[in-house]
Amino acid sequence: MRTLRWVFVRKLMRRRETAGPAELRIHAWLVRHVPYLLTCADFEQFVHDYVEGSLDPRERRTFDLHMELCRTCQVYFAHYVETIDLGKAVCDAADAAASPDLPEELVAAILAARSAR
Amino acid sequence: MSVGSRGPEAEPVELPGSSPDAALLARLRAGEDDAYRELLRLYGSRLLAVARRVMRDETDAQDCLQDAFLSAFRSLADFEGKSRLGTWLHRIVVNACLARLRARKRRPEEPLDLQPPEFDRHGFRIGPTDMPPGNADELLEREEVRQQVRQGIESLPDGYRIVLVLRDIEELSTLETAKALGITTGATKVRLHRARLALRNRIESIRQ
Repeated sequence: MRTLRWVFVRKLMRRRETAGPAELRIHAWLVRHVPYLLTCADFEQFVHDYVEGSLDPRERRTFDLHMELCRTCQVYFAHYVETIDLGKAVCDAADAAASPDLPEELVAAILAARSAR
Repeated sequence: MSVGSRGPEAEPVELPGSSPDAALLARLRAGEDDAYRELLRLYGSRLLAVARRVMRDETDAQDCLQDAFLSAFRSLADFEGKSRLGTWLHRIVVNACLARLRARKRRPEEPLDLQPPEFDRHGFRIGPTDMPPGNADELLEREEVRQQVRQGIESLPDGYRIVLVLRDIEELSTLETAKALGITTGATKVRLHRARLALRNRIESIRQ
């Protein structure tokens, strides 16, 4: 991946967000014909498995390369991971703030039901 | 969160007879009344929180918790100690909640309020290229954000909310979640991904 060809491809792909129509067609051609390059739509299919850590090494390199080259997907992925973290953090904070004890009537009901059996 | 940290993990093995769990278990099996109350004290509140997230309704959550603990009391002799007592109870609570949901009269699932990612005709993503201001810690400090995230999770249709709760909040593995729900791992992944996107859309609307 460190050949001159790859240096050129990387430089070109990093300009995608500001590319004009003609340059975008070149990008699209490169993605179809150069190994290890993904479209963003392809990248979307890998996001879940990347977060899970279940991509094989080759898939992971491909995913990482797309992240390096595509600013839009970097931002998208940052939002995606932030969403997971926020959901967990909010629920953990709610649990920490809640009473450490069960309502006494619920405890009594459970123990009474146990005794009745 | 570290990427790749969400795979299935080996459960810690209890040393027989030497852990607090083992001592409590022995007392429970001996039928000590105080041991049952202690079990509820140690694990009840946390597990009620789990039931609340799955059921969305406080009465249902408490009913599920009662069902779960009674089931656990009946199964104490079968608990082999291959997982922690809390993990075992957690599984029973989740199963009790899901059983109650399955027993309900089936309603058509509400549609997911989702703005799917957009791509141009070349397959390139259409979206912002600037990182949004603030980070997760800063967002968490705002009560309105915490409330919106909680409401965002609660407002997801059951099929999506439960997958998100089990995977992202309760941190079950994909396989455990799929087994609990009686669906394939593939379906679990798709639902989880879509649930996360729906929640993300809600968080983004708060930022704007």
